[in-house]
This record gives sequence, structure tokens and C-alpha cells, in this order.
Amino acid sequence: MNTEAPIEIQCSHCGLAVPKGLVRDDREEQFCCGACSMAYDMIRSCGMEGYYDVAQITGAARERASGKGKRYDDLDAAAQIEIRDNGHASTQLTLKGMHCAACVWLLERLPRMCEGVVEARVSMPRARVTLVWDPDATDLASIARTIDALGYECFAYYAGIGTAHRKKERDRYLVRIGVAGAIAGNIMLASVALYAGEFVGIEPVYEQLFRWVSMGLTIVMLAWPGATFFRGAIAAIRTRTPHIDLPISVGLLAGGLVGTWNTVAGSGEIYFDSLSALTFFLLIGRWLQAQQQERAFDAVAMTDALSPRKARVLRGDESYELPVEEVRRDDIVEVRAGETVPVDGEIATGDSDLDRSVMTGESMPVSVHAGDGVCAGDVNLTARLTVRVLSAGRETRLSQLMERVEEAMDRRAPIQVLANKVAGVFVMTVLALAALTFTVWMAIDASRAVGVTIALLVITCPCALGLATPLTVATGLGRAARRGVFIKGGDVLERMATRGEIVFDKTGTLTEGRCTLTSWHGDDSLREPVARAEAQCDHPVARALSEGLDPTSDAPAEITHTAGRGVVALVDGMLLTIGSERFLREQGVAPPDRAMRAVIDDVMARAESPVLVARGDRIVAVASIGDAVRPEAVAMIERVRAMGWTPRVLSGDVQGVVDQVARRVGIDAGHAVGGADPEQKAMTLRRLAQRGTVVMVGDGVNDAAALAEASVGVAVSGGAEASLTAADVFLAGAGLEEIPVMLSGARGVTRTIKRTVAFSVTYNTICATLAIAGLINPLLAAVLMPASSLMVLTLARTNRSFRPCP
Amino acid sequence: MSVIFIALPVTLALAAFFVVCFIWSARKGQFEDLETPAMRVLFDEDD
Repeated sequence: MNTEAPIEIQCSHCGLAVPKGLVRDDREEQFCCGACSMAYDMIRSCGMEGYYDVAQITGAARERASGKGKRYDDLDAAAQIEIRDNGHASTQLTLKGMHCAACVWLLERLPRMCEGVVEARVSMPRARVTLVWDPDATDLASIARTIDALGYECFAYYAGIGTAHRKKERDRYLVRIGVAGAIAGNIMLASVALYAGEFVGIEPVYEQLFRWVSMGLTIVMLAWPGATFFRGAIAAIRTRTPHIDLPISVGLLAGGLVGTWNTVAGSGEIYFDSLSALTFFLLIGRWLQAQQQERAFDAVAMTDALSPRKARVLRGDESYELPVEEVRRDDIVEVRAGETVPVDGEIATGDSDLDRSVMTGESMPVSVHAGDGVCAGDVNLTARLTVRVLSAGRETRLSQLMERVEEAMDRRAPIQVLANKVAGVFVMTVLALAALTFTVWMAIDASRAVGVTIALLVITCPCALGLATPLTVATGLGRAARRGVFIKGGDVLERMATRGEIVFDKTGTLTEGRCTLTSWHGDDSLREPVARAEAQCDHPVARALSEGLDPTSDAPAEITHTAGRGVVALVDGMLLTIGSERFLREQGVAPPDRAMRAVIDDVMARAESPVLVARGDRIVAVASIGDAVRPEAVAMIERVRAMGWTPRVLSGDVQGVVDQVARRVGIDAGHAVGGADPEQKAMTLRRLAQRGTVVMVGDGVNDAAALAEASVGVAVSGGAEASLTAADVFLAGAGLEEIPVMLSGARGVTRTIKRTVAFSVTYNTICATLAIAGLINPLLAAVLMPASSLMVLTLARTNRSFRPCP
Repeated sequence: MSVIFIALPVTLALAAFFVVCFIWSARKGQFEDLETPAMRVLFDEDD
């Protein structure tokens, strides 16, 4: 039988399904999006069709091209470029959208596509490419444009504070693990001989040899890889904060000393095999956790710099590119359309619209004129401006805000993770028990007192405890990262595992954070012509209109006049005037009639912006432009509340709008606060954090200080670098629905940690009882210690947190 | 069995040699990126 299934048309670039509306009958290649189409053309024109073969062979999961078509003009100034001895320049870029071997293949062939590029080396797990190019032949911006056209959005990579330090630390751990593994393995071999000797007999001379060899290796082990724990323990004593390294060190030292003593004495237990295996496992656990945490830091690197580091200063008739630090007060700085304002100041000449979302969090553009103030970080949208500088460099409001963020982060007290808290009690209990055991055994049988006490100290070494937390945290962080939730540390999970208050920013967090068409009143047949007219304007409102009205043809409209807040266009012989009420009045359109007036007032009452459409001189339609609530927000708030959290909204927008949004997503009116500037947001968070656990979810720079003040700061994707630095969690590309998953995942991980801690304590109680009673023999000790570690491994693996919801 | 007195130091020396190799490669950054080189082997050199 021949049934005709509907054939799904695949994108020629990424292989994913092409939406019906975008299928073009007039060409063979089909594309799911503009970025893919651009990438496909670019790859073909460079003769790099091999990309598709490699993609085919490796059979990797496919992903859409993520090129943005950006200009990257700021990139040369923003990137950390290193000039090598041979005159070549080198830098690292972080790329979005790299996902398989074919991407590596393509990007490493960049020297053939882009003149002047000498070398391109990709690191997949870090999502980074290291470029070497000849600065005389090309510049970074044009290389970046090529990479973008290939389908990868580029970001300058900053080795942030601590990056080099963390890398060094990881390398050191790797070396320690290698040494510890080699030693542990060799001691195991010696121990096999020794244990076999226990059962079938061994000549004393060989027994002594193996014991001495084990001792030698153990001394190296304790002095080199094991010293990590001793250093941690010394730091814990010095700062008087309990730390898991403390009881571990006690166990290692006690075992090492008594083992050495017994080796020299020629009889008695040596413990060396257990000690070395323990050190090895503990180091692996810590290394795994560090690796997972690093992923969060890598994800954060995919953001843009806040404000340009260079400014174009006009002096006389000349213009100079100067680093912002060298710009003086009263200099005149030129800011072209599309550029970011590099300084604080006031507008000397020009009228334009500014996107001030960096400072205010609000996406609606603000129109500005000569004499108005501007801040570093504002994006100039429509026309060239010149700005008289009031402050630049470290003096700008933006820089000061950043300093505040750093201060708040420094002030944040480190949270004692559960394992460390338990370790504090643990070490005291064990030492007290040891003292007691020693005294009691001195009375019973003085010759055995030392042996029994040492056995107690060694056997109660909390290996399970020391291994449990890093392993559980590492699995949790790894699974979360696969969902696009990047968490910077295990303590963050424990802090989120309670209940408390969760504060949301409005714009860009609960809402889409950009202008969208929320409703359309009037003649539907006008949607199409309006969309076509607006498609030719580059203004957020115009974009919202053309996207929201979904044009079905590309036939351009004839723009006859355009100014600040509106456009006059001739579409299919129809004269349309589209814009604000004032613009229409200036164009001689009759004022709105009563019905239209009501619609306009209604839109204004919802705190949205009405865009009026007139045919001829009569207003025939009203489009309402606002910031739409994210579709998943309502369900998310409900789930968060069900989990025992109190949702709040805190925004820089006017109270009316904030109340509107709060009502729509289901947040109590009393918990909606508007009109808060960045400083007030931070204050509010500090106050809330003093009362209990408070999670802050935000995106913009204006939230950065608040994120740093919160118990846990969560930055949503699209956020600026600053908010990501300040945040503990970064939701990359993930929607709001990940927030309840993140909270319940944190609970899951913490529950597993508690379970392993409980297990560890029980296990140690039993062992301690046996040891105090003098019943521990070497073989039993050798079996019991790794057994507990294995048990913990199993428990950590069974933790199902961050798995997809059933 | 007295061969053990020679065999044991030899094994330990071997182990030490490989540990030194490992440390060298770790410091050289050989373990920095374990994914990308695995992909590079798939590509033909001359295409």
C-alpha cells in the first residue's frame, strides 16, 4: 500500500524541520531561519561544503545556526589581543552554537576562508576558538563577521578574575591525582602479597620488604598529594571554622604515624593501603566538582562587554579613538547610531532614541534631545549624537554600580556547607572519644591503649563524608548544566534547598524584555501593509510591529517620510501614516474619533504604548506595543509557590505596569514593588536577606547589585556580563520553567548529601564502637574503609535530581 | 623468590617514570581539552 505521509522539509543547513511558512517553492535549498540560510551561503561560497559531509559522518545532533549578523565593530577594542613576536595578533573568542565535530572542522579551516587568519584552534568543551591573524591583513571585527556568518555568534573572551588561578589549581589537582593513583596502585600490589601472606604464610623477610616499601610510598603520598588535606586542616584551625579536611587529616596522620611506628617495630597493623586509596578517591571527588563548577564560569563568558572601552572624541575637526580612561570632562564624544554610549554626559547635539535597559532594565526606547543626560551603557538606536562628557572611565554611574557589585560579593559571608558543619562536630566527638578510650584502656590493659585509640582515629576517618558531597554535587551540577542551568558551586545548591522568598525582576525576566505587539484594534486587512512599511524601519517598535503582524510578502513599501516616532509610507497605492498620536497630528491627520479615543485610553491604562495607523487622514487602527509576559511565567510562579516559596516582583518600571504584570502572573499585589532604581533594589535585597533565604532572579546590569546581595542570585539568559558575574546561577538559553526544576533539583541534591552524611555518621558510629571495644583487626579495617566509600559512590549516583520531570 | 629484591625497585622506577610523564603532560595542558582532538582525527588532512 502506498500511503503518502506528509514529508517534513529539512533545513539545508541544520537538518531541522523548516516551518511551513518559510518553505520556498522557487529554490531547492530550504532554511529554517535566516541564520541558517546565511551560514549555508557562506559555507558554499567559501568552498567548504565538506562541512555537511563531516556532519553526516559524525551523525551529531543538529543545531540551528546562531549567527546574529552583528557588526562586531567594538570587538577589536573589547578583546584581549596579544601581539606575538612575529607580529601576529592572537586572542580567544567564545562562540555560541558550536555543537559537533563538523563545527570544529569548519572553524579550523578559517585560514582558508578569511584572508589574514593564520590559525584557528577550537576547544569544544570551553566553546572557545583561539585565533591567530596578521593585523596588517585583517582585523578581528571582520574575522568575527565571517564566523558569525558561518552561524556562530562571537563574544570577546575575558580571562576574568580568578580564571588563571582556578586553572592552576585544577592542574595541580590533576598532578596530585596522578601521583596518588600511582602510589595507591603500587601499595595495593604490595598489600595483595601481605594479605595473601596473612592466610597462607609469608617469609618474614618478604613481609618486611613489602611493609617498608608501602611505608615509603605512603610517606610520599602524605607529603605530596595528601598535603592538600593538611593545608586545609591548618587553615580551618587558623580561621576557627570547621572543615572536612580536619577530621580527614586526623585520620591520615594517625594512620600514617602508627603505620610507620609498626613498620619500624616490625609488627602490628600498617593501614597504608586504606590511607592511599582514601587519598586517591577524595582527590578525584574534589577534582570532579571543580570541573563541573568550571562549566558555569565558561557559560558566563558568552556575554557582551558592558560599555565600550574606547570613545571617539571630537577635538576641533579631528576625531580620535581614545581609551575611555583618557577621556576628560567636557570632551565631546561622538556616538553613532547602533553604538553604545561610552561615557556619562549630556547630549550636545542630535535627537535620537536610546535603549537604556542597562541602567533601568526597561526595554522601551526613550527619545532624547540636546541637553538630556546619558549614561555609559545606553545604546544609541536611531541617529548620531554628540555627547559632552561629565564623567568617564571609573567615574561613570555604571562603573560605580559595578564596584558596588564587587563590594557586595566580597561582603557575602561564605556559607558553611553541611559536610563542613558535620565535620566540626565530628572531629570534636572523635577526639573526645579517643581521649576517653585511651583512659579507659589504660585502666584495663595499658599495653593495648595506644593501639586501640589509633585504630579508632583511623577507622573513623570520614572518607564517606569527604567523598559524598563533592560527588553528589558534581553529578547534580553536571545534570543541571545539560539542561542549560549553570550553577557556580555546591554551596549554592544547599542555600537554595530551603524555602523562603524569591524575587523576580520584571522586564526581561517575567516579561520578554523587548517590545512586542500585544493587541491590534481595527481593520485586519491593514495588518499586512503596516507590517511591510515597518519592516523597513530599524527601531524596536517598528520591529515589534513587523514581527507581530507577520508579513507574508517581501514586496517593499515606499517610504515617503520618516521621523523620530513615525513613518509615512505608500503601500499598494495606499497612503499610511503610522506612529505616535503626536506624529500623526504633525502630519495633519484628524484627531481620533470617540471609539478610537477609548481604545487609545485603554491601551494607555494598561501602561502600553499605542501606535496609531491612519489611512489618508483618518485613524483606522491602533496597535498596542508593550512588553509581553513570558508564556511560561504563570505556571512557573504557581509551581514555585507550591514548593513553599513566596514570589515577589521588584522592578524599575512604574508601579502601574508592575502591578499589571504581577496580577497577570499571579503574584500578590502587596509583593509587587515598582520604581526601584539599581541602588534601591540592592537595599531591598539586603533587607530581605537578613530575614531569611532570598533568591533573586534578574537579567540586567541594574539587577547586578541586587543579585550579589541575595542569598542566591539567578541570572536569566540574555543578561549582561555584570549580572552574570554577580549571579550564582546562570540560566543559559533556558526558560523560566527551569526555575522550579532548579529549586527542586537543589533540594534533591541536598537530600542526597544529607542521606550520605547520615550513612557516614551511622557507619562511623558502628566502627567506633568496634574500635573502642578493641575488635578491629587489620583485615576488617581494610574491608570496612573502602566499603563505605563504595556505598557513598552508589548513593551519589542514585541521586536523580535535575532529571527531566516525569 | 629473591628476584623480588630486583624486580620491586624496577617496577617502582617504572612507575616513577610514568608518573613523571603524566605530570609533564598535565603541565603541558594535554588534559585541557579531551573532546576536540578526538574529533580532529575524523578529518582528512588534505581536503
